[in-house]
Amino acid sequence: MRKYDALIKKVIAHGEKLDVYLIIRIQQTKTKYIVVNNGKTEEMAYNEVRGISFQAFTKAGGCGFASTEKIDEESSIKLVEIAAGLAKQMEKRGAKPNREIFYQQPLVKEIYANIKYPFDYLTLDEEEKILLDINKEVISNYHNIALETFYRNVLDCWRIVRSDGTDIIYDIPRTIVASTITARGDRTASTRAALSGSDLSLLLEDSSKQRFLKRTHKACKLANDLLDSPKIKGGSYKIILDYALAKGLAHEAFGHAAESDGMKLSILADEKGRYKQGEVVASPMVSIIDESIEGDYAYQPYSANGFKRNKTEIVKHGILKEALADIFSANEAGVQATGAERVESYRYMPVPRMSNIRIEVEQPIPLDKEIEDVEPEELYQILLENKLIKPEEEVLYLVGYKGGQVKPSQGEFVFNCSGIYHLGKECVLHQPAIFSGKVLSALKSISGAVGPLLLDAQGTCGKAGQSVPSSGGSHYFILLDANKDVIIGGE
Amino acid sequence: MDYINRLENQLKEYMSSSKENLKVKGWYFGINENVSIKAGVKNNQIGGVYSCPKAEEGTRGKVYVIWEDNRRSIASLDSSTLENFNRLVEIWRKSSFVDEEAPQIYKADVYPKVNLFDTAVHKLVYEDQSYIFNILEKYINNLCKRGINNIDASVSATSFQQHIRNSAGLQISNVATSFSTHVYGDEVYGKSYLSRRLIDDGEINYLIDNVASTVEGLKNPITIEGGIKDVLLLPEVAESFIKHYLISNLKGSQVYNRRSAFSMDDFNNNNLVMADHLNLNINTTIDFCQGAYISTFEGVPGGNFNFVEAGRLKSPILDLKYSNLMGLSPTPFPAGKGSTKLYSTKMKTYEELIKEMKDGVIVCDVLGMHTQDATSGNYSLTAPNCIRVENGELKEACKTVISGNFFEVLKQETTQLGTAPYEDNPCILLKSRVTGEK
Repeated sequence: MRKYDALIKKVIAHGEKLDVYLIIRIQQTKTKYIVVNNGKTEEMAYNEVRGISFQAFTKAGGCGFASTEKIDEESSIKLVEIAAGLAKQMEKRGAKPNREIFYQQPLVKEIYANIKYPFDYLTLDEEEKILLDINKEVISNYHNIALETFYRNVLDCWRIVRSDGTDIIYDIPRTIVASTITARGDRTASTRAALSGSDLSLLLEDSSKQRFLKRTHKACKLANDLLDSPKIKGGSYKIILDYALAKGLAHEAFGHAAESDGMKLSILADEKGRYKQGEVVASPMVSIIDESIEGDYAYQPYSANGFKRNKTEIVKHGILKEALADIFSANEAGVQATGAERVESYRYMPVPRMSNIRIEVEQPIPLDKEIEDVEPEELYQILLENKLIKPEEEVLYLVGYKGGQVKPSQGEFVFNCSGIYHLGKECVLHQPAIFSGKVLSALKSISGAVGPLLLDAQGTCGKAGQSVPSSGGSHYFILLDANKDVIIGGE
Repeated sequence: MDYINRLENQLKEYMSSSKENLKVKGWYFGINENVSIKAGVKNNQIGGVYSCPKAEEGTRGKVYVIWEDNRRSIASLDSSTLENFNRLVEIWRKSSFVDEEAPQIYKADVYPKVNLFDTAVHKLVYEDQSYIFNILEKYINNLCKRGINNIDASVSATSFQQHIRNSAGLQISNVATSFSTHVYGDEVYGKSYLSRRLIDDGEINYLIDNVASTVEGLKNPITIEGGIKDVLLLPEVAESFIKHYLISNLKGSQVYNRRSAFSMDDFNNNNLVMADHLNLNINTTIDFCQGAYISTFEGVPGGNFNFVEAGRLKSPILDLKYSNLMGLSPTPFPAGKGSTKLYSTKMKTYEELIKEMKDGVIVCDVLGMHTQDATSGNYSLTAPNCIRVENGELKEACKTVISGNFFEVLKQETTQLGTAPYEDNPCILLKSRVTGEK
């Protein structure tokens, strides 16, 4: 990234000549991926991409943006002129001005993630062999399973420079290995298992590899069991969510509604678009925290505008506390900026987003084993013994997060699971069904938790036409009391 | 063109024997050079910090290499590829893989004539961008007058030069454009337009009118009784069902690798998977259609093909590899809006379908489609914005959860399709379980 010093200096100077403030974002990304289908390599590749963007602000707060993947002086000067021209045009057209960038303190920092296995530690051939072995080992156990094993290792390097002297360089390493399972019988069912982190530890450390295999086998068994499982009757139930679904609840029900750029219409804001800080939104035992964690799949140490990303306590002991905010909308929303802005690539403009979001519940029931080893029947006994459920109660246990969606303005969220167990002495598996609820009442249903925190539930978050890595979790299991506003959409 | 010629020449150099283990046996590449402009409205304001005008220029593509020992490489291309070419070739070689089933380079074929370029969109990109802002202003002015409190919108125009080359002599270069816009009212309901042609006034007015009237109709929702009801999926919702449950299961790689709801036997036996009046077609040769193209990067011509005809499976969607493996011809690919069409020989109109609804709901949008298991066909979706219909008349707004199995729905004789003006996709009227929500 240092090789761009001279270019940056010239571009900033040209911005001054044009009388605009600039945010320059340079991205260089190396990606390796491998796809293995049923014991054969479908595709693998190594790619390098790079690009630069310029966000220009006039003194009155007009804004324009331009990007290119040519990082050279000629293109950069041309694109800065285009961005400045657009910003000035916006000022003339009376676009909503935003001058917040002019009041920020400069920051200079160079930070590299601490990883055990560098990006090029293994060749792609060596990585392919590991993937093929894993894929073949799994499918050899099943006669009716089709398995795609996917691996991606990314080294994403960023430099964010601003006209005020800010110059931030950081890298984001991230790795994922995932299994997509399709079981065929009279019907067809699909499930997924994944393990994510920052580097090749996922495949090279025995404990991680075994965990991935265990998750994949569990997902294979689930897919097979789903082939002849019935549909659940729709309605409100007492519900147990696994940690990945709990991440979905935090992400969809609260995280998005707490993003400052959408506060004008968010269910968590008042009629003036100001965050309802201090409002009781959950039981006092519940907190929701977003925090960038080194080694995590969604790690983001600095924002895409060059600010430090801060830990954000969205809900603390049941009370709405902080928002996921950037400098551009924090004031209007009446909150502190937390450096929450992220981008998919240099081609996009940053918006406030989550990184790793978690639900913490006070005094969880301790559980000293890995979540992959906990069967529904054992979970049922733990819940009974700890009086979290009664023998006569109808309780559903939802497993395997499959993504979700939210409408923050309407306060509606949904997410889906891979399967639903009707808990009892004999647990009965049912087909997955949509889990939907209302933001303002869902968290109030949380009444307990089992096990330690587990925060590696990986996902991809879509917003404003951009996809960014997300992750999070909770205790192994959280318990939601039956609530008329939280519905399982079955038959 | 200079970039394309130099890239082609560089690849040809590696076909000479002096390159030893870097010797290339065959190759193809596809490149898009694009310039685009986009502007938006957020919370009724044009061009704030989250929706400011955005210009982009880029060169992006993909290269596929067959090495002398028949190993294969796939890599992305951009404008910096040429300056690092020799280093990248070594990287491509190191990341090559064995694929015994992969095809050889496709020989040049007859290619369709299809118009992908609209001068008006090109001028919007390179000359005067006022029209983009005029459209955004029209959205704000008209929708505010119609009682919409919050408007989010965007308009985007792109001009491309597209190039496809291969070592068997294929040389396709063409220009193309793309124009898109969407408008969203009160964060409740939105409509979009996507084409290679500039939008006209009639189409803009339709978007505005549709958003205004639908948002109005969705106010003051009631709670409805559940049960098996008539459900009318609006075109965008129908499109999401078609893409999620049909297109994903028709892909040759999914079928061959047993990751589809349909097996190879289903295709070999032309099994019935829908009612016999239903057909699924992909046509990539419609002038100005966003999903139109001349050729895939592999060199397979665009075309017009029924994948499901009279309810029976005809072929999976096949690239060269899977067409070879399955002993069938390669097919057109769904490449964007407008190219995929589910149609019926008993097509009705939107109004006729409404009239046939005794007790049901119109589903304006659904949440969570991407979370559904496409291979099972099961759906369980929250529909936060529905309009109740009784004896063919539109009544109150309501919220529902709809659930069922889309494959079963397509086989039922009660399932009907309807056309709507300005829409590429049909509405689908079906019987489904509906659960009313508060």
